[in-house]
Amino acid sequence: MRHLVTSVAPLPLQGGGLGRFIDPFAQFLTDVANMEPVLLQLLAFGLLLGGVYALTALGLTMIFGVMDVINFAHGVFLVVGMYTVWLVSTTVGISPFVGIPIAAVVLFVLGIGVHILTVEPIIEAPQQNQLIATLGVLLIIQSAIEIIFTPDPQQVELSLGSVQVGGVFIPLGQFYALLIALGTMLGVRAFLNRTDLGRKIRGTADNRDGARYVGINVPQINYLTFGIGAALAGVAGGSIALFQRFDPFTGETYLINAFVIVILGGLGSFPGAFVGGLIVGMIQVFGGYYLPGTTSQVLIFLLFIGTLLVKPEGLFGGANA
Amino acid sequence: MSTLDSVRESYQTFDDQRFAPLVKGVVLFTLLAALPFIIEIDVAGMELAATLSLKVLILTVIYAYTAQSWNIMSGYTGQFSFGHAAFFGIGAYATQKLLVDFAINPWLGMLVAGIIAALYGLLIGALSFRFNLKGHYFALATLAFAELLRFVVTNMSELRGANGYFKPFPRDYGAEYGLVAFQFQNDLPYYYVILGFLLVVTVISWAIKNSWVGLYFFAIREDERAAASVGVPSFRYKLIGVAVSAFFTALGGAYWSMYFNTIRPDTVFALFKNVELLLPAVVGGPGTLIGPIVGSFIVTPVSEVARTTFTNINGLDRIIYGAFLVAIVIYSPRGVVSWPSRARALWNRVRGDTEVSER
Amino acid sequence: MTNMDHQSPERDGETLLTVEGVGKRFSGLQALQDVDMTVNSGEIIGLIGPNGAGKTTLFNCISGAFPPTSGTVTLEGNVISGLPAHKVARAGLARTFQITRPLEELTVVENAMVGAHIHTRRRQEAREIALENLEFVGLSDRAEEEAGELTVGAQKRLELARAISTRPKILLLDEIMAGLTPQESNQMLGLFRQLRERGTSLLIIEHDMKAIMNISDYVKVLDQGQGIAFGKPNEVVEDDRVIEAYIGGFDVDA
Repeated sequence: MRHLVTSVAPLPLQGGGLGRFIDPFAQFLTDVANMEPVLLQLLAFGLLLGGVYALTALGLTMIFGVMDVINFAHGVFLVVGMYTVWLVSTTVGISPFVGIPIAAVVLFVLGIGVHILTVEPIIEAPQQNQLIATLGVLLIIQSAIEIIFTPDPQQVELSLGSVQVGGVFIPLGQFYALLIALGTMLGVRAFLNRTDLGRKIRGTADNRDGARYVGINVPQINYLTFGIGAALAGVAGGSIALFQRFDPFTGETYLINAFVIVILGGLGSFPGAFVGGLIVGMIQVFGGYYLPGTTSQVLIFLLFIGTLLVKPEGLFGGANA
Repeated sequence: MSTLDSVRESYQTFDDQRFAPLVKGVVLFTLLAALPFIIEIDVAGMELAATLSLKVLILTVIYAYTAQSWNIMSGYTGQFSFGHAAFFGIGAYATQKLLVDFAINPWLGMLVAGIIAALYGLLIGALSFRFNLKGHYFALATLAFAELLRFVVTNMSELRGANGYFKPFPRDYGAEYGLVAFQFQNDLPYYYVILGFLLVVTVISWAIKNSWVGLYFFAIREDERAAASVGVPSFRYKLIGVAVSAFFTALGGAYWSMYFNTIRPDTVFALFKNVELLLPAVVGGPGTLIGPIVGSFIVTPVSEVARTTFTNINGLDRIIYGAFLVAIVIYSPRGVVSWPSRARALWNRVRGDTEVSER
Repeated sequence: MTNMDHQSPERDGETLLTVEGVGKRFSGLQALQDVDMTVNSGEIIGLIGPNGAGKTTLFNCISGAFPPTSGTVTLEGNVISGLPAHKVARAGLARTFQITRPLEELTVVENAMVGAHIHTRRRQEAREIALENLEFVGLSDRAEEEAGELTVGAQKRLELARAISTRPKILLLDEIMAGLTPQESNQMLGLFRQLRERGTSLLIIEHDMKAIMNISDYVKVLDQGQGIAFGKPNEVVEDDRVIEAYIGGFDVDA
């Protein structure tokens, strides 16, 4: 358990005083007034990161919206996606881009397995029990990865380089990840809106009891939703692996931010997840630049709490997955 | 009438006595007090101490204590907190801050820490209850309040950032090893201190349960609207629950900071700390008095023994622990304390006893 | 003349509960409009009307489940509208729910004790009050059972016991006889009379017309959120507006 925490590197200690909270914002405003070029660069980074964040929240918001289950294993599902892409590219030599759909399939199967073994038996139990069960799954998978692949960080060998667009530097790995994220989101949206199965899933999200009455096989929808949610985590994890190092414990930070995005955007809302992802991405990028240490995360939690209190249904409230 | 029935009947007679809870409590705590010696008894060449060390016992009682504290809020009033690491961390940090930077005795510092935690609990409660957060949303809000503190502390030089505090020597705050200094040179006194903590919080829990406060708590848990319709001010009582629970949880954090050498944001405020603190209560039976204690004696040794047994495969212990979590919530959603009555129901069914159903 | 003055000299007792111009609007839907009525001490008043007339909404406004959007409710001259439910209960008004809300995992006696604690913090005293009231409703032999295990009929009696354990001046009963056997209903009517003799006023929503006409001193009729008649039971049934409201709207089997 003591490994569960991704350790934060010791920070240089900041000077005291209120100034350290105010100065960064003053600096930011000055930069805005002067239209500093760095702002454009940060905006680009925020967009790149935010798009991927949105993708990490997609599966979570779907499971939350349809099944009313908080899936704590979602973060480790991401990690499985990362390792799958890494594994197929390093051992079999397949392109990581082909690895991403493989990760989706692996996660779909794993998701259904996890659902049948741990979530299904207690779908009607008190919510805290589901929470603890999915935490148990998190521990099991995370530790299994640690045992098999060691706790050392891994990296997909991929030198994609970067391009400069109008003075803005864009790393291609992140750019492709963003494209994958956007494509996946549009694809899933089309699936939910256009296909029969998709409509059934949405119907179940709107009203579980009602769905039962109109003859939707709700247990079946449940495990498909869990499978699809996990597959989306696979795609998200695989995309992150394109540009970032990872270890078995990487999922935790993404999990927490994914919760924030889900609540921020509104339970089960895809446009909400996208906007929520952008907000969190922007705060992290701008905060990382202007604020000391990991203070940006403090802002994210304040925003999270504020949303929960004032508008728990989120910016795009109403469950229309 | 079988022997079993007569045993049960005489137990029932005992149970109806007014002094029964007292007797049970004394027996339980005497047993707990004797545990460090019991584990050293040599049985056929095996002693429990080989696997169950005093350190494990201390951890077990720490988590029994925190789960008992969590239970006051979440088990009794039904407001499921997933963010008790906030209070635990406040307890540890406030105690160490006062001790290291101002040489304030940890016993006093601990009380200050408890009050700060209670105030933070009141803030969380006032906001969440006023805005009527329920279920998942409440759990996520409490988690967010805990995570918020983790990052605040990590980024505050006044609290030594990510490096955390290193517990000072007693002489650094003008004391000597012993009860006053809250530091001892071996583990046995530490065990009795935390056992004392557990006794206090258990007695207080018992007192709450056996007063109107407890009844109001349970009424709120069962149905807030029905409770309000007969005069239960649920907002106020939920706040009382949070504050008391936060106060005692913080004392647990204070103890933690005096037992272990260091505290850091990613240990005492860790995401998983939120789970560890409450887990024994869920496993043992939320809302019950004995549940958190029984639960901790099941959960904590499993995790600790697994950790010390499988040192060669780093991570195997957590797989076992995880599997254990899954199994326990699937097979025993109402906790271990429900086992005797479930066993009795099963036994009755097997015997074809219709006595229960005829009632 | 059925729309008789609320303060009619014919009525005995002091005015206890006054509902004045009460209205309730839910996002565009006017559920209640300008409802007036009074309940005097020691009276049993029936509140009737077709389905959707706003009877339960009126109960909710009076008991503090939610505040009315307009108008005031006073109890013994003190304004209680807008107060939260627990304060209304402490002012002396208790209620039961149309769909019973037992505190399921508490025992029967503990359910009633929650109500009794309104007057005392001492557990033993609350227990005595609770047991007394369980005896009154005929549940004392099941005092130690879990409330969730009771049948619907028993849960209704438990709700009554829990409510009267607060020793209310006025009791609001929302279809407490629905789903009871004729024998249970008769027992319930007996309890109502005894409660009245103890000085508790009763405001009763009930679909069983025979029962309500039999037990009520006066009847208030709501239709589409408005009060359309008030009077003695035999007068009200002959009122044209009441007959009109009930034609097609009134479910005969209820």
